[in-house]
Amino acid sequence: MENNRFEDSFRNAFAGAEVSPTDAVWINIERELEKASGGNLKRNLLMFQLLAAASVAFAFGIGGLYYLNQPVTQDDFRKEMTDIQHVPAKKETGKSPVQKASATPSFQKKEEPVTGKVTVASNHPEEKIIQSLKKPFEDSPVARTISKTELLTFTQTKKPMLVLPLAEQQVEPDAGMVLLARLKDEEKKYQQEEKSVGANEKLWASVGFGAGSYKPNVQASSMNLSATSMRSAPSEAAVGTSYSVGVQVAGKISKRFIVQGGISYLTQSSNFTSTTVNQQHVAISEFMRPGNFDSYRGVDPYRITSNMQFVSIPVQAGYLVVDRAIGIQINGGVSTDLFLSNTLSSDNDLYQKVTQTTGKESLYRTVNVSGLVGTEISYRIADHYRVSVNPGLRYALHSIYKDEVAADITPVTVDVSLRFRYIFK
Amino acid sequence: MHNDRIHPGMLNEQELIEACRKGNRASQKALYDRFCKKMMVVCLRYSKSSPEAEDILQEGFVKVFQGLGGFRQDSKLETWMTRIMVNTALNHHRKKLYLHPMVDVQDIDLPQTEASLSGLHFTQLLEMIQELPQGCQLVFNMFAMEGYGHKEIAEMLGISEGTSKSQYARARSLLQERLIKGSTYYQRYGK
Repeated sequence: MENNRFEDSFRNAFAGAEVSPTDAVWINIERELEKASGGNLKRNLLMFQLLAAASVAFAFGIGGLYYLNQPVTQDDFRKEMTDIQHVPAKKETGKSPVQKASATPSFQKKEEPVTGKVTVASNHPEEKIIQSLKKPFEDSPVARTISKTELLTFTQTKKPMLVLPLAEQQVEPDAGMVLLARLKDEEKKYQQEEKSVGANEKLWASVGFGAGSYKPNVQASSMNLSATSMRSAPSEAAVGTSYSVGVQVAGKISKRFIVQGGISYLTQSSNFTSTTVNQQHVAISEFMRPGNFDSYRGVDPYRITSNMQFVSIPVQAGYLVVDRAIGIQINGGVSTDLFLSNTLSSDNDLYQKVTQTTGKESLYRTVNVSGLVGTEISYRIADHYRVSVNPGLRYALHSIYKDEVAADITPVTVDVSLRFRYIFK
Repeated sequence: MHNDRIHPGMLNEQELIEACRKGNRASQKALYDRFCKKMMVVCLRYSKSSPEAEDILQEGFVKVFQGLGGFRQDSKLETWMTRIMVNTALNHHRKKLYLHPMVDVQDIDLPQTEASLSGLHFTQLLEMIQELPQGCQLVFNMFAMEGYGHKEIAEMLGISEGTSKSQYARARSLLQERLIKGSTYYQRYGK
């Protein structure tokens, strides 16, 4: 009783007691918070993400433009010529000329000549076929003579662009064949030119490193978690960082398709708050606890840094959108990630760090599979060398925790890697 | 959105917590302003000087802001913050305790008369607490002021329960001695 009086009187004496700290304290706190929230790191991560997004957009943009400028094939040209020449000879067919034309895609006979005019931009700076075809055929109920003054236009935007050295003159029905021959020459020339750059590269190896943001994506997956075990909210697991270094070998299996594989070392770290340690004062992430809650105890929140290490074996297929001095490639595939270890360390000296590796006792699966999607933008710097920037996304296809762990963790990584490529042949 | 237009100092505790969780710096400052003076007293009780107390306060508040997301609000915010300050202070002392471990104190002369605290300002008591040997200071604060049991103290400091009890008895004895000396002084010579 006496003891209690003594303690109570002390407590009472301090009730409502206040002492002002100096202003320097808040300044230091603010600085620490800036540092801890990783202001610079976050900016860097944002930059990585923006770069990745911009690269993907760039790749698709360039790819789209390239596609639109593909060489005209003979079939394309034949079809276009057919469209021009299939003019109905008689009114009484009942069908519209367009319908007829599409129904019988063949060249018109000689005895049914089409008179008309092909206006050629002979001095056009860009080699484009510009023919005039202003009015659709259905305007005319009869086989129609194209007047001199009437410009009928269709625009050929695909490569190779061709200049027809034709002035105003009548076109015979088989003039298309002449054009085809010229087109063939141009196409051949263009293909030879194209082959001289990227098409010669068949097999290469690359070495590179990457960095990016990493999100653990932790979710409690089981009802086994007690109320106390939920204190460290999984959603608190912040975005962390991912670094990788590795080698790859790739080869073309066709003109556009590539198969590539390799091996890389991958490390992913993130920070989050925990309120649990085990009885030996070992820092431990609360949602990782496998079940025996008695061996853990709650403590005041403290920050945990998780550092996971993997050996990754990616296998990907790639499609070359552009294969010239600048190469643009879209990749997709899977990666077998072999778990090496996870080290949990606290931000204070009270709790020891703990490293978990593989094995029966481990919470982690040894073999994990991730999906990979990315682009590769490369530039040929010398005969046998290219450098490339590879923005990409890695998504774990299943939880890297074992089934008995009452949580799932499916990491997502967005990173950009820089690679140096040596071209064997 | 509405809260953004209100000065953080005008927010109630719950609103302030929510704003701090979102990382709003002005709200963090407001929370700091609201509690720093009380927490400074806690830190002073566990330290030997004001600069040392400020170091603990700084580190403690950083932990408060970082851990606020995990604050479950089943206790008062002030109580939770006090616990963090105490843990931070213990962390500060841990290395020293490793070098100079606490041991059982065998011979304690308890004063025959019970000292009175009446009329004493908390700063005088604070000074007495700060003058206690380090082990006694920690155990006294944890037992008498924070209300931890000796078993908990033993676990938290990595000492035996007996050591915690004997350290507390010694702290109590030293404080009473100081209080009696002080009251005798005041009785003789006045303030």
